[in-house]
Amino acid sequence: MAQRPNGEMVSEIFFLRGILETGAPQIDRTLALIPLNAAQAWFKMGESVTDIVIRASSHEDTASPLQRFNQALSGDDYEILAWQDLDPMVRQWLEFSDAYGLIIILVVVALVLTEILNTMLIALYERQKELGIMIAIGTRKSQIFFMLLIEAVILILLGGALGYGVGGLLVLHLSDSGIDLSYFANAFKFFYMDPVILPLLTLDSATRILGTTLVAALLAGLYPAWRATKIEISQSLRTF
Amino acid sequence: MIQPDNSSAIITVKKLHKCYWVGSMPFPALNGVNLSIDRGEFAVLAGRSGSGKSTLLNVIGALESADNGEVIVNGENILGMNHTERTLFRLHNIGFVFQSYNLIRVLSARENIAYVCQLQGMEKKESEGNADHWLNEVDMGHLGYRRPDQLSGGQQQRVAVARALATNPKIVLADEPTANLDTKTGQKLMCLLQQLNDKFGTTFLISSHDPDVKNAASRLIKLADGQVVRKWEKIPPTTPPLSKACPIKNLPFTQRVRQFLRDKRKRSSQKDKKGPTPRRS
Ligand SMILES: Nc1ncnc2c1ncn2[C@@H]1O[C@H](COP(=O)(O)OP(=O)(O)OP(=O)(O)O)[C@@H](O)[C@H]1O
Ligand SMILES: [Mg+2]
Repeated sequence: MAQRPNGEMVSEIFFLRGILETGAPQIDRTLALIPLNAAQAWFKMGESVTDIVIRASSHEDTASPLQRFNQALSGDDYEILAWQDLDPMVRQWLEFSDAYGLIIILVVVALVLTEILNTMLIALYERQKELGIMIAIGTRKSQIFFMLLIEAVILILLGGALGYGVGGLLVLHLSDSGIDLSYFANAFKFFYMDPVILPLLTLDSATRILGTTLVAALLAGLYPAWRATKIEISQSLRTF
Repeated sequence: MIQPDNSSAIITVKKLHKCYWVGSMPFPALNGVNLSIDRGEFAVLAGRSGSGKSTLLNVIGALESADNGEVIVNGENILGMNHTERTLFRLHNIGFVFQSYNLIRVLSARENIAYVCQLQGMEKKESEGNADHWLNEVDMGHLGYRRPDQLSGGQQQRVAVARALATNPKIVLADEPTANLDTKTGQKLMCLLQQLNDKFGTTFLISSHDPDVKNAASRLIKLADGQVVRKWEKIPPTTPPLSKACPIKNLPFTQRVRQFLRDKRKRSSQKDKKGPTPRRS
C-alpha cells in the first residue's frame, strides 16, 4: 500500500523474489524494495525520479563533489545533502570508531612502554656486570646511554617489522573472505553493520602506529639507559 | 697536573684513607697507605683477605674514590677528577686484569681487544690488526674468533692480559689474576706478565695470595688492616730481563736476589763481548 504524489491511496500485489537483510531489524521490518519502473508505473510518475544517489570513490571525498553540485544546480529546487547530513547517526558512529582507534593506539603505547621498560630493566640487572666492565675499561657514560637507547629502538624496529609482516599477511589472506563475526550477529543488529569485517591495512595507519610505537620505545628506553650510567663500577665488579 | 716529587715514581700514594659505609656502620678499608712505585716495576701487593688490596687497586685505577689523602698516577691527581675525567684516565693510562677475567661475553676474544682500541679512537681495521697482534703476543692468535665461554680460564685470562696491554697503558693493575687458575696455568700467566713487563717496560701492580706471584715480584708490598706493614726493597732497575722460560720464577725472593747478583757478576765479565740489553720504557 502506498500514497501517490497527488494524495491518492493505492495498493498493489507483488511477488516476493527474495529477502534482503541489512543487519538492522528495524529497517528490515519496514522496508521493501521494488523495481524502479514498477514504482514509476504504480505511482503514475512517468520517467521522473525523486532521489538520486551519487557514490564518491571514498566516503571522505564528499566535500568537493558536494560543492560542485551545489554550484551547478543552485537556484533550482533541489536539496543536495552529503551522507553526513543525511544520516548524522552514521557520522557519529564513524567518529566513535576513530575515538576507539585512538584508545587502541594508547593501549598499544602503554603496552610498549611497560614491555620495553620491563625488558630493558631486567636486561640491565643481568648486564650490570658487563656494563660495569665496559665502564671500567674506559667506555664513557654517554656511550653507554646511547648504546642502550639504540638497543631499545632496534628491539622495537625488529618487533615492528615482524608484527607488520605477520599482520600484512593476515590482512592479505582475509581481504577476500573477511572476518566472519555472524556468530555474534545479535550484537551487530543494533549497529547497522555487516557481521563480516573486511580488514584493511593502509600506509597511513601503518606509519602512524609504527611511529607512535617508536616514540614510545625511545621514551621507555630513556630511563633504563639513564639508570645504566649510574652503575657503580666497583660494586658491579666487586669480585674484580 | 701535579708533578710527582720523585720523577721515576709512576704511582705515589700518600696518607690514603678510605672507609666503606654500610648504613651508619663504618668499615675502614684503607688507614693511611703510603706507597711509591717506579716506572717499569713489577710490584706485588700481598696481605690477608680483607687487608685492603682490592680497595687500594681500585683507588689507584680510578675505579673508586677515597676519603682522604693523595694519589698521583703518571703525574695526575686521581682523587680530584670527576667521573668522565676518570673514565678517560683509565682508558689512556691503565690496563686492568681481573680475577674473574671480566671479558665481555657477547664479543669474541678478538673483538674484546679491538673494542678498547676503538674506545681510544682507533679505526675498526686498525683496531682489529692491533687485536691480532696482541693475541699473538699472548699466544692466543689461533683462538681469537672464540667467545669467552668457549675458552678455558687460563685462555680467557690471556685474552684479558692482551686487552689490558692493547691500549698501550702506562700501568697494568691486576687483582689476583691467578686466583681462579690452577698452579701450572697461574705460573704460565705470571711468566707471560713478566715477559711483557720486560719487553714493553709497562709497570705492573698485582695483588695476590699466590706465592708464585710474590716470588716474581721486583717489589713486594704487604698490607694489613689497610696499612703498608712491610716493603721489600726492589731489585735495582738494571734487573736483567727474565728469560723466556722464566728459570728463576719459582725461587724464593732472597734466592732470586742472590742469583741476580751471581748473574750480574757473570755478565760484567762478559760485558766486553756483548753490549747492554736494550730496553724500552
Ligand atoms: N662495598 C663494601 N662495603 C663495605 N665494606 C667493604 C666493601 N668493599 C670492601 N669492604 C671492606 O673493606 C675491607 C678491604 O676489602 P678488600 O676487598 O680491599 O680486601 P682484599 O685485601 O682485597 O681481600 P681479598 O684478599 O679477600 O680479596 C674489608 O674489610 C672489606 O670487608
Ligand atoms: Mg680482593
